[in-house]
Amino acid sequence: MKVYASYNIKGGVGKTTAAVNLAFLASQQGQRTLVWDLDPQGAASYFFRVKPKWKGGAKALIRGKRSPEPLIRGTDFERLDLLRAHFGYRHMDVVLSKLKRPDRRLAKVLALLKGEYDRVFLDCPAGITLASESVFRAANVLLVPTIPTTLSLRTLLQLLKHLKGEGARRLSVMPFFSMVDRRKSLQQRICQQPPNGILKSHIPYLSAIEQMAERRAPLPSYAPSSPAAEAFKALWRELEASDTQGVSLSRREAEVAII
Amino acid sequence: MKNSTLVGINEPIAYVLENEAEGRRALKALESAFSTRRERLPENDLVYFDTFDWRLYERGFRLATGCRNGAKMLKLESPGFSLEAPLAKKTAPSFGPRLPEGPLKELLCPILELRRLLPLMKIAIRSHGLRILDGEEKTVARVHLVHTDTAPPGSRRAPIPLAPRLTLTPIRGYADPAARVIRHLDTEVGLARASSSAFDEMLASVEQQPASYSSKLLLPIHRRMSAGEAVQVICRHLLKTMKANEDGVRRDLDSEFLHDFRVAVRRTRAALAQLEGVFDAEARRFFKSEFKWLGAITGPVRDLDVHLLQMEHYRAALPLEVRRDLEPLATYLRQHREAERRKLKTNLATQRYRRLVERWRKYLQAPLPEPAVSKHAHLPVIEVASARIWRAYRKVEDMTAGIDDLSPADKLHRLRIGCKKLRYLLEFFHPLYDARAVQPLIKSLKQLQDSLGDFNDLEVQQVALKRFAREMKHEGLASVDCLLAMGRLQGHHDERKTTERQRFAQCLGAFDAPENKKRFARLFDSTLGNVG
Ligand SMILES: Nc1ncnc2c1ncn2[C@@H]1O[C@H](COP(=O)(O)OP(=O)(O)OP(=O)(O)O)[C@@H](O)[C@H]1O
Ligand SMILES: [Mg+2]
Repeated sequence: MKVYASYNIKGGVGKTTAAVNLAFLASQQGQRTLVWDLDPQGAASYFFRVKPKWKGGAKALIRGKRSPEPLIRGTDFERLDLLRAHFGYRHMDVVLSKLKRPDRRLAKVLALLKGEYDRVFLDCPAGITLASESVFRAANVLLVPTIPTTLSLRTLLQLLKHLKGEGARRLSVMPFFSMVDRRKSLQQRICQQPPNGILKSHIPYLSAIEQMAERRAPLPSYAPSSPAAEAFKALWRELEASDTQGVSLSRREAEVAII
Repeated sequence: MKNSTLVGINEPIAYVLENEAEGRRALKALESAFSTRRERLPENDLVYFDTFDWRLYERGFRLATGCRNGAKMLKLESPGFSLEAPLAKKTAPSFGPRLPEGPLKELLCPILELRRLLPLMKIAIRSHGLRILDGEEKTVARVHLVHTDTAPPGSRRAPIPLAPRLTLTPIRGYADPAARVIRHLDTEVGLARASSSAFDEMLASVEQQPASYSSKLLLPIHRRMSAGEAVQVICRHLLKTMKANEDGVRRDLDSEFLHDFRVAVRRTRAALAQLEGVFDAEARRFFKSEFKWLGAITGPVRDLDVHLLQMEHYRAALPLEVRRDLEPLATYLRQHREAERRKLKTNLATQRYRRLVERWRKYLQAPLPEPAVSKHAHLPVIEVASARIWRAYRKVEDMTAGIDDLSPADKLHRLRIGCKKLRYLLEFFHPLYDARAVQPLIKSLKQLQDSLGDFNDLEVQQVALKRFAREMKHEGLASVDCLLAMGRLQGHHDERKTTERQRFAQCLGAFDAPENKKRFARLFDSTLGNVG
């Protein structure tokens, strides 16, 4: 079971969009796939037309006292399931802070699902919190959608520094450019020759992607050969092909710092 | 009421339909009762596979090749679980080690062992139907009208259409809506649930009988039979096994066909040799010599198979740097096997073989020979069985008396033959006795035989390797490096023979234990008045 976390310190950068579309592509390739909607706002659940759970059980789930099974819903797509959002996740940090080794909690819950899924995608809320520490520990690959602007790159650098400090060596960090504006020449330039630490594929800013919220389905499921779908497919191919170790954190940090 | 049996298992609930129209009516009824959306799935062509002895079917697995998004796939399914692997174009699954890497291969390899996957049937599925939606227009169940055509593998005949089915596929986490749909179909529409699985129906349509072959001896004999009747049942079963494997031997599908074929021949020969009194003496002489011939013509290929299967162990027994040196040996084995296999194929196509099978079949169906020519055929089977087993056991007992782990190889060899004879008799006749009493005896005998067999195999392999080395030299196949490596192998075999002898001593102890002796006597010694 390989665990991808879609994560950024910043909000509104395309984390949920990436998690939903990449998970769909994985399931299309025959991987038994689960999306865990960790955001109490439930954007990923919304895309799959599943209502978040409002009350009861979030605490027990995080504490490992309850199986995630009753929260799992089959999506409209073969091999793709959703561990639906829970409104109780907004208190996740409070719950975690009362537990021993809070950073290991999500990994423990995922261990209960081992053998059932080949790929898991965690759709994370923004911010560095106790919950995100637990995500860093549970994930094998940290997908970081990053808007190619100076400020966003600074935030990425902060994240890489933070992860290095945490000694998150097992975690393979895979930043990619997201919401790339074709009309902005600076962004175009950065994306044409991404620094080594950043994936070659990027996701352009496209109204088709914005409209996913209306369709409420993964984009490749209804527009499989649209430019937007092709962008996600290329990203997924690159992710599957890149080795799990990736570039060392400090090298990645140095290379990101250059731009 | 919650229908909890639905949860988790994504096996569709199925209804068998009289005709297409009945299915359309059912879909209409659902459309007016639920919020739905129509859909049509692309046609799905599959080829199902299993081993000759149904190893997948018996474990509840189904393995098929098919296409998804233009790519060839291998898919393994069982209730509530599925695995996939990509398959190269124009390839079919065959042996475990040749499957595409991944969890599917890891799961299948230990199940398949040496057996090849063979195509069972071709299937074409067309389906259209409805998605049942909730208030968010999320799909909560699927109901499909499914048409299936089947065809035997490799046949050009027109496909066989099965009766259409209406299937309901529940979706994980939505047991309640699925239960509501089922209730509607059961009561409002009044459809009949399918009693057999679609898969079994498909198999039946191409005249495949699941689990119709097993290499195990499962003999329907009982105490009220005469010895002649029982032996006919036994030999007919063995003949059936031979015939069942014949095609696989001819086509060289995997090495187990010949193995099972030969085991049946050996057992037949054992019956002819050891149950002399139940056969007509003249017929017995003929069949004995003809089955001996059959054993002889099937031997060389099997021997080479054994060495080829051992190659991996041979390599593993040598240090890493010389393992490659054994390659000429593998080449030699493969070449000779191919030559021997051609000879075998020719032999199986001879009049002599056909006549043997025909005459044997007739003999086994004919009325029992007169008591004048076969003095035991009309005795109760239990009498003959006990006497023969007791006699064979006493012989083994005599041989074990003066034997230990230092005895010469030929003594061990004779003991091994004695054990084999006893084993065949026990296997033939054990259904006549209380299983709880016989099974421990068979087990202790089997362990003793295994240890003797392993010792003997090493001995035989050493002799064979020496012969191979000479022939390889003669054929110009033997590099000096290869001969040296084979020499090292001989040394390795010597070491293993010593350990096998020690294990033999242990097994002998268990077999010779007073408790075991008493058991044999209690069951089979007629002087104790326990027979008949
Ligand atoms: N490549 C894109 N082109 C156009 N619009 C996009 C693109 N990616 C995301 N969006 C839109 O931007 C908004 C934020 O995207 P998304 O929800 O994926 O980001 P997020 O990082 O998960 O946000 P949050 O931090 O709120 O969870 C959404 O309205 C989405 O439709
Ligand atoms: Mg989000």
